[in-house]
Amino acid sequence: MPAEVRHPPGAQHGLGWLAALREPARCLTWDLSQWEHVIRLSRRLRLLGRLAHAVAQAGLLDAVPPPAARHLLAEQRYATWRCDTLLWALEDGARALAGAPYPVVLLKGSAYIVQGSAIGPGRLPSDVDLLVPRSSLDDAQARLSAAGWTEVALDAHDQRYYREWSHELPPLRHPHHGLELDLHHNILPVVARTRVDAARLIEHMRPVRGSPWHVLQPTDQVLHSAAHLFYDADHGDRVRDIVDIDGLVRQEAADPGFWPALAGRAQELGLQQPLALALHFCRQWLDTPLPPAGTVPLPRLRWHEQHLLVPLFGRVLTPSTLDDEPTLTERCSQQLLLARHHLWRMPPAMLVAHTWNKLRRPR
Amino acid sequence: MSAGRAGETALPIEVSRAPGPPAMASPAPLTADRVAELLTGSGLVLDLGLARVRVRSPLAWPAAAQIATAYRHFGADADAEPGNAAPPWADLHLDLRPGLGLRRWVRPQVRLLADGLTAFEPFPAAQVLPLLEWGANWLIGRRMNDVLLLHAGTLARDGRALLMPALPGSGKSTLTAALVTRGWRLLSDEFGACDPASGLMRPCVKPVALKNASIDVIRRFAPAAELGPSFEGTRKGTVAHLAPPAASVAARHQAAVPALLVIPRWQAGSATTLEPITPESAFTSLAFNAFNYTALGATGFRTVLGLVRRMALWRLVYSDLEDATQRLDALWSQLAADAPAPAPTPLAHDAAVAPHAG
Amino acid sequence: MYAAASGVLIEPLADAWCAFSPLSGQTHLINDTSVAILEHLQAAGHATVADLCALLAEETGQPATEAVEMVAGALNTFVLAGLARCLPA
Repeated sequence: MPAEVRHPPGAQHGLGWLAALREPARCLTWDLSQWEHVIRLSRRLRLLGRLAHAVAQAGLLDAVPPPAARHLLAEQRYATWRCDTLLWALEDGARALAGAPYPVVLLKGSAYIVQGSAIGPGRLPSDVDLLVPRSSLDDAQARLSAAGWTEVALDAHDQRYYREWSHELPPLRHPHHGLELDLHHNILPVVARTRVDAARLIEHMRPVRGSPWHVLQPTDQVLHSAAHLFYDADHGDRVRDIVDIDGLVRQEAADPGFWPALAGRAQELGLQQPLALALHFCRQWLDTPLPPAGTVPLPRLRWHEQHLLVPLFGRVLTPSTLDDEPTLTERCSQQLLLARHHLWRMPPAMLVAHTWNKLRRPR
Repeated sequence: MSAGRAGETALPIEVSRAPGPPAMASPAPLTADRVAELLTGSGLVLDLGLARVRVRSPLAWPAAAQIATAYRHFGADADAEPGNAAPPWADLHLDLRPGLGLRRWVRPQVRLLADGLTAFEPFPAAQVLPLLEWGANWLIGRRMNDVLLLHAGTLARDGRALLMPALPGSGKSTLTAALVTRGWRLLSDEFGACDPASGLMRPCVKPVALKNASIDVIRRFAPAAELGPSFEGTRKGTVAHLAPPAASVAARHQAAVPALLVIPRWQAGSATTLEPITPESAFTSLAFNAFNYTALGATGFRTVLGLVRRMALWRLVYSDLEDATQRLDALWSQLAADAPAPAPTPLAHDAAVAPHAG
Repeated sequence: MYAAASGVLIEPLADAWCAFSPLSGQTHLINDTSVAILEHLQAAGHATVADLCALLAEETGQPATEAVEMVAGALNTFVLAGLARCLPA
């Protein structure tokens, strides 16, 4: 059993190595066996590129044993290409949307990369996420379509599902670079039990200097990432979202107004539960510095969240082993969280209709 | 470690995992029983040169027999120092597992997982080797971005490499197999792995996959060829694998200087034609027919440019394999006579593997 | 108004050139005329279609007016390929 890096937070979950993302010098103590384990796990978690960037940025690549270093180099190249492809697709998108009389906001990875955020480099973006006001959705799609972005083929039911029930249009694809573009009019499905007023998000958007794009304000980026994680259907290998949230809050650490604003915003948007869950795992696995207890009214985990959701997510966000199938406990945990997701996402009547349609569809 | 032939470009010598006398020039062949033991234990680690692949499986059969046949000359990889419990380094970690649920027993399947994730559809349980080969190729093509991976059959003689880009209809694998049986060193039948720093071609020694009619063609061409069993009904029809010869396996850490590019095309009934091509055609055949050219960006661009400027550039149209191989031999000899012997150039970084501590 | 994209690599082969754009990640085989246009953009910083037509007229002896459609088309292709950039008016 490869020796874990001692004492960093998260070690007992096999995540001690995450500390190296922030303090790359920690990797200098790893032997080859540890490197092999970290490379495998971080690759699976889509964090290898970020580890590679951290190590390279710290000038430590030459100190990494060659069998491991080549994987860092390889992934660094691959991530660079993925990010460059995204930037090029965004140029295409910007050209298509130039002159649109409504704001267009970049979400998630697209935002982090364009902003030059600390959590930008080393990512593996697979799609572009844009947020526009719902009333402008058709216009935005028409502009993109005119520039060559075409809808991925879906049947009529799925089309209607996307347009009426979801928070995004069916994905668009461009023949030149194959990246998917997801046009959102909200960050969460409109019929879900938690409703976020997208207009409030757009109201506080920030321009990105030197680019035609806007991004959400920092608190909203944190909340979006948390909501996107904890209300999603599939939580396997999603510890990278915790890493993102940790990176985002550390970036804002110098601003004394950030934490109170985050607490207030979570309340305003109704996203207390995902924020509480996110901060729990951030502190547990990444030692994220949080304000001293009692100083900021951050949402606290309620009893059922602490005793039901936390253990479930803890079993699912990162794999317990790379060399075996998920355990029965892990699979049950994922099923329970999936059921929670479906109950949250759709009113029961719609869920039945949606499921029925999926079952009826020819395979 | 066997010494390379004169003129072979030697990488830093692979550090032996076991202290003591150096490995024999011809290690004992890999046996199915030994493979079975390793598959179900700590894993069989196959050193392909470019990458080390660990394979494990909870079910030893029929995987062990199929793998042992195709990798018969990788015997040294199965040697383990008694008492050394630490598994050696691997770049890829593959698991062959039975089908899920009913498909473990009913029309049984085999699945391939890498790091616990599956990216492939299951295969029928009897087709373990095709799944392993295809899966390993796919993963190597996706991950090993420290080198430029061209889609080409790559062989070597006297320290120089012959590259044959794998355009559709090329018969690349058949030609590669034929040349291997005629004494050429196999670097790879799938990957032309070019190290951007040095411009040298690196071996990735794996069985040569032959499909459909090619299988019988090679059996007739070289009756003594070490061909494994035929697998029928795969996605690509019938597949059989030619085991890499012992000498090719022994030289898997020795790079070769790229010297000759030949774009092959098999055309029924054609006479053998061998003619020079333009650098533009060569560039296109390499850059737009690679696994990771685009992902490597400017590095890929410069590496392909270097290859095009360095190699003699030809194309081959043929229908008769014997005639084609003879013409290639003749071209090679002619070019070798005109060119000076390559100076040994060690690679800046090699995956020289030290034993695990502890 | 057009400018060269930064970081573009242009290298000669025998009868053509190969060009790589780090922006788009694309590689293209281009002819002498295209290279002349791109090199002029790199040297001059920026140029209009008219500038480039005049340049080509000098080099080829053909009237500048004939080249307008070709140059405009080429520049459009270069922008899509990431070899040149269209500057805002």
